[in-house]
Amino acid sequence: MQYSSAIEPHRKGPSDLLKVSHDGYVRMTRYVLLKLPLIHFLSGLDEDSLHLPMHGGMESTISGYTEWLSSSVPVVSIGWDWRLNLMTGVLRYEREGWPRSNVMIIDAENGRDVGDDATAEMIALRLEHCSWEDEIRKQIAVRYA
Amino acid sequence: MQITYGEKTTLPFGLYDDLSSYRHEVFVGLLGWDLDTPEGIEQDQFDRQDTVYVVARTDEGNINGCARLLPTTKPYLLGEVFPELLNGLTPPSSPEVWELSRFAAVDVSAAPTSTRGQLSSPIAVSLLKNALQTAASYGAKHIITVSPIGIERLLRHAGFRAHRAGPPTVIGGHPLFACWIDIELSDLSL
Repeated sequence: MQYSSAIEPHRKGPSDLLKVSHDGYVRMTRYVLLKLPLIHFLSGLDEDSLHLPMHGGMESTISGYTEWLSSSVPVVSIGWDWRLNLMTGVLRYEREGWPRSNVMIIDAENGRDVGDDATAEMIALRLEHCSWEDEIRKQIAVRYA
Repeated sequence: MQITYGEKTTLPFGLYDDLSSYRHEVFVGLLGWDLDTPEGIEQDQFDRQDTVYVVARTDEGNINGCARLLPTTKPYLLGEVFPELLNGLTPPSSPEVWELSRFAAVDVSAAPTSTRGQLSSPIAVSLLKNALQTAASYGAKHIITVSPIGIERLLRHAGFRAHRAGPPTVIGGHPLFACWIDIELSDLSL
């Protein structure tokens, strides 16, 4: 597990209007989610995913988890699993499964919750716009080198 | 596997003592939690007369899992010890919200496996379903719990409806978070 200490200075933006609901969700529109800066918090390897080379090869099951935070108050928390794909000859970190979070996306027009599944899909799209693979590569190298 | 639940005074004779020993073996001995507890047993201020326990036992009678349920209308672990995990929210206090704590599904008499494997075992899933059903019988509709972040993955994989109540925080070297679990009785077929 590796922690990040760098916290970016907070800038005013749509996330300044965020509130935490009694059920723990931080509700926001998709637009706010897309604009929300995320900061790496910690990453780690699954303790049982490391396998020693066997028969001259390497098991392709190195996996782990990562946690990211917003600098807003209340804090938005997003975590997901990743897997290191060793099969293509190029090391690639790939997200595995849907992100987990305290976010609930609401419809911009009627303010209704879109639901956990749709929220997870929108967060996954948001993650495509952040270079999380590079950050994890760096964090894992420091932690497990 | 046999599941028994009840309060301290309604559990079968001797089971509460066995449970205290089991908790010590798991949480202090196996997981290394730094708990201020008498030698050989694990109890704290939340083990009261009204605390509800769910205990799993093997066919031979050995405890291989446990859970503790507390009403949030009285002092409970998250509200008293870890309120900072709630992202600024006041700890819930409702007869419809119960806290799950001291959850374990480990057969300490069996060969060791990885922690992840132990927690994702069919025993763990069955125990958790029983714990949610027990909480529901006391009027709960939602569970709040303090857990290592890995638990959230296991909840998802097992099909429970859960979401985090706030960001994880590193406490005692372990990233912990508060988690909501919705009780959907239709999803709890055993």
